[in-house]
Amino acid sequence: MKFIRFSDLCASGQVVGKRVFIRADLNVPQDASGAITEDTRIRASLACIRMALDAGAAVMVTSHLGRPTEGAFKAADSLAPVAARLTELLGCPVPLLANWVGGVAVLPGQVVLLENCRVNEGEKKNSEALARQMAALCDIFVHDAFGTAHRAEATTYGLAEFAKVACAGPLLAAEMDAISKALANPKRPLVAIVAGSKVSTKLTILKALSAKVDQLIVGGGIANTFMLAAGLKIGKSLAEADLVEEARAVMQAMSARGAAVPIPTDVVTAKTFAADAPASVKAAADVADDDLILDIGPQTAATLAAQLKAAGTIVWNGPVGVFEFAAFENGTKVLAQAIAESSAFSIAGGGDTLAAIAKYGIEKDVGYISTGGGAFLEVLEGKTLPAFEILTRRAQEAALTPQAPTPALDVARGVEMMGSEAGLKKILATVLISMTANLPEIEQALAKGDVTTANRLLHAIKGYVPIFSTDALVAEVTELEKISKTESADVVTPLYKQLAPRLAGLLAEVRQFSA
Amino acid sequence: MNLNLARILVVDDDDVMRTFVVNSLRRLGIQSIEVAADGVAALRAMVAFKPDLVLTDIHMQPMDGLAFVRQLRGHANPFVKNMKVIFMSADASTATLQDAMPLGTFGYIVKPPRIDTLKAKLELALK
Repeated sequence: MKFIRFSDLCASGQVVGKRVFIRADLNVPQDASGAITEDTRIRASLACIRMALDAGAAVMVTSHLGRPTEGAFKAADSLAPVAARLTELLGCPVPLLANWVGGVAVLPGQVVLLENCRVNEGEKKNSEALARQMAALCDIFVHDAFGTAHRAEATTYGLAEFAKVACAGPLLAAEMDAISKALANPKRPLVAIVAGSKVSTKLTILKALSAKVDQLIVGGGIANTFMLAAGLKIGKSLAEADLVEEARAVMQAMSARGAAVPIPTDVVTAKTFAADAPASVKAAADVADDDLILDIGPQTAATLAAQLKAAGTIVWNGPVGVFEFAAFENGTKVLAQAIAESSAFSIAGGGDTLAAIAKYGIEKDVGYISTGGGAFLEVLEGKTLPAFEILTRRAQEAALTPQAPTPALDVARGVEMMGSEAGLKKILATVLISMTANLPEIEQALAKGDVTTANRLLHAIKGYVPIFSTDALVAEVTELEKISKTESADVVTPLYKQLAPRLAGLLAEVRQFSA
Repeated sequence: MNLNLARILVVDDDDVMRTFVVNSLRRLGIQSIEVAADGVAALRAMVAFKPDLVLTDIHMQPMDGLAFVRQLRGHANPFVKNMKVIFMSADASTATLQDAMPLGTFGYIVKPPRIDTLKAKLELALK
């Protein structure tokens, strides 16, 4: 996925004095009095806001909070508690602005919080009129709310479509990078763990992953359905008998590709679903009619752990047993530790998975922990998230749109060196003929590995560019001419590819000036 | 010698640079200018044009500036043998200077010269 990174714009000075609109995810839990009970999302959003302020931008931030009714603002929908918390965390005033769609007064170095964006009429339905109005507020739109990346709303999609520049903030960029690494270009073998109570809720994910992964480890109620499909008895365990055929289809799709769905060889069972229910470990073939399978057995856990340790990439969604109960946590714990110890790049997401990661303290050992529940699941389902689609499209368009080139022709210098504008025009007429012939010759020479010819031609250009070019272009030509004296075509060719557009730009400027 | 009356031979294989040098010489009031694109053509011009001074590039094909000046210095005709030469090159490396200096020249100009630099070098050489 190629997209524009806000950090790159900041680093290259393209944000100085610009109006930056950040779509953050500040949807924090609140108690009945409206007080924030957990502020992780606010703290996570600080990186992007600080980046924008440090880069010299005038900063506008918005988010949704709860599920308000569009056009009917109520006090409970207000981001006021968030503004107060942001003020504390940033150590600078963060005024909250209501009714902001028509215009926002903010100066470079300042940050304002724009009231709950889901109150604006047309937000949910991605109204083009609303999106265009919001796009007009800013020079740069920054999407930094992965949790909303699966929704095409006015602040998460339309704004990205119509803003002059649309890019990904640090949180969204990290998610996009991790997802690309795990799913678009995974190091093999790619092992996925998909667990949870029901096949039905994750059938799309199972089908999508069965076309990609080398091992599909199933757990929880999902594993029970696969055991049924494999012809094993599962007693009273949670399973969906009507989905056995679907499970079998997934297994067949996997084995047709030479991949596999490992079926547990042993399990941990109990007679009741309770923390204190006596647990017994038994072979998968020995499950009794009144047994409940509540975890994978130690032999299965060890086998799967070995596969995880040998993996190149691991995608983890869901615990494999009832890990909240000590007697049935072993499978999840062993797999969690195996993921932590594995050299594979691992990406994990989903509420229960995050709880398991926290319980076993392996946060630092997981390659990437995705915080966007619904968005992460949609990625696993193989869907292209609307935010990813629009940001990559905008990046492609930006790449195709010719940028205003850095000037290469220095007319004042040319007039001084030649004594008059007529003198400059006279030499530029010669330059046009000479360079138009020489640039393709350099390219052809390099293609043949003939650096000597390329150097001779670059030497001539180096000789005359100081008559009428900017210092920057002179420096670039001088540097490459020097390198081409000693280095091979392998070194010179890619450097010339960078210089060639600058020389072509000079020619274009010369033509325009001479016309 | 008055610059206006000087006869200058400009030897350079690059059209743009020849245009530049000739333009600069004209700005200094010099009327008699001849150009050559390499050492071989320059040798022919020595006899036909009879310059007072040669401004020559170094990197040229088929005969480069150093080979050209060596030929001058070995020439039977004393006028040609003792010709005043100023080298011009975009290459200001010490190695090139070391090659050029023993050939008895009136200086070395890094291309493209500013008009006052060129004037000072010419005046010194033609004094």
